[in-house]
Amino acid sequence: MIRLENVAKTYQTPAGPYQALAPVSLEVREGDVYGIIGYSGAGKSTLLRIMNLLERPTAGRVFVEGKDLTALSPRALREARHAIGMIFQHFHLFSNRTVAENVEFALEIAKAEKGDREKRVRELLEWVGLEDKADSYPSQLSGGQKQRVAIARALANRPRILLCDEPTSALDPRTTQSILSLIRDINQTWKVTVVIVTHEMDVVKQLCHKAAVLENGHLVEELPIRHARTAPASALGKLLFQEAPERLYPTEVLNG
Amino acid sequence: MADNLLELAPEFWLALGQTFTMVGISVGAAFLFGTPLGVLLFLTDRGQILERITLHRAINYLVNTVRSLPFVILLVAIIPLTRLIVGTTIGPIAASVPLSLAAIPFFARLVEQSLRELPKGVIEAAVAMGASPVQLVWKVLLNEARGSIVSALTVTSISLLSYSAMAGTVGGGGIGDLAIRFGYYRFQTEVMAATVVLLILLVQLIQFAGNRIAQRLDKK
Ligand SMILES: Nc1ncnc2c1ncn2[C@@H]1O[C@H](COP(=O)(O)OP(=O)(O)OP(=O)(O)O)[C@@H](O)[C@H]1O
Ligand SMILES: [Mg+2]
Repeated sequence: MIRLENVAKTYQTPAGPYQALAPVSLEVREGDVYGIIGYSGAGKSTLLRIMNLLERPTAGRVFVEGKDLTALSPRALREARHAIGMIFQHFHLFSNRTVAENVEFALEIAKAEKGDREKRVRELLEWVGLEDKADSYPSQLSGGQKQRVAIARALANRPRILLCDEPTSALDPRTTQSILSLIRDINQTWKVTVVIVTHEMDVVKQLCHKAAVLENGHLVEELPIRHARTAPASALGKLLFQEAPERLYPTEVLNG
Repeated sequence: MADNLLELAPEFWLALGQTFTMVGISVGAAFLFGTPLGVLLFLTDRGQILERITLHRAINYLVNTVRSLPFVILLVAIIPLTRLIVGTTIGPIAASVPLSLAAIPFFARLVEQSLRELPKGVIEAAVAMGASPVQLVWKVLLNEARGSIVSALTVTSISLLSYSAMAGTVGGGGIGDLAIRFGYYRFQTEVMAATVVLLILLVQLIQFAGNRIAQRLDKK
């Protein structure tokens, strides 16, 4: 579904080149929920953002459904992106568009017919439980509601892949649970392949089939979560899965 | 004294009309040409979707240069250009040429700033969904920044009102010209005072209307 071949990213900073991601190869299988976990600054977001080329890797190739994204023309890349949904920690909704218009945006840019758009927007809002908020603006919503809108927007064009960058890190525990079960639904009901960046162990344990552990820009190991209960071999993997408490960070740090 | 002002009522109306012509044309030009210039300035910068550093620097330099010229100098320096475009250098329409020239880079800079204030992630979300540059500009950048662009337009209008008083004295007419001709050269202090009051009212009105519209448009 998604295959990265020797993908690396080096940023040019005023202080010189900085390698955020060492060459990494991995494969996300169709229908999986794939976790990316590691400490802050480990390169998780960089790795995720390479998967839809929001970040262009400085080396390597990115295959999505067999197509090499790094070789596509700008137009073909935009086309490919219609089939890859993405959600973020801070939602990134359009503040001057209503809830319905936010969802419709994705359909507008994919040039869907007006009639189809309205029908699809209604369907999606109903599905995320926000049909009564269609005409509200994002500033009038709670965090959990905003993330639901973002999810509806990301799914509008029926993507085969959903990329999530810490989708629950700005939410309280109960809201987190509802968003996670929504993501699980998306995966199970619609067979959407999900890649999720997180530093909350809960998320990985509840959701993922497999998880990549990143440390200082290196993929230290890939752990199967549900299929086989292999014991983690890397020090960080052990820390995360066995000895550590449920979260990588103490709750106060996360909430503060 | 009141007689004096009453006698001059037609002059006041004429001057007001000329001021509106000058400010209207130059604000229109600022909006029409300054907006795309500001968008280009933003999008060609480092890290943006149309990154073109050389082009960015060139526009940046041009904008700074025009903005660094004192308006009086600009006014005189482009007389040949004014004659070329309008055919004359006298009257409010001719005066609108230097006013527009000053207003365009000023407004472009304000538009650029408005766009810089948008959360980076919102633009990124649109790019991730596969928005083209044109869609990004129309549906995201300008729409998300519409409140602060209206505020920028308000600031520009008020600056132009005061510039137009200056342009007026060298043949453009308008309220500033009236103040100088009657209030200064003919020592009719009450005319001077009346024009000042009129300008104060105009500024208040523009600011009030601008704030209201910006507030209405901005859903943040
Ligand atoms: N545009 C950039 N320019 C320079 N360095 C960058 C840039 N983006 C990220 N980095 C650096 O690359 C490293 C990895 O960043 P990344 O955002 O992928 O980390 P992360 O694992 O997602 O962290 P977090 O949990 O804090 O979100 C960090 O050290 C970061 O400072
Ligand atoms: Mg991150």
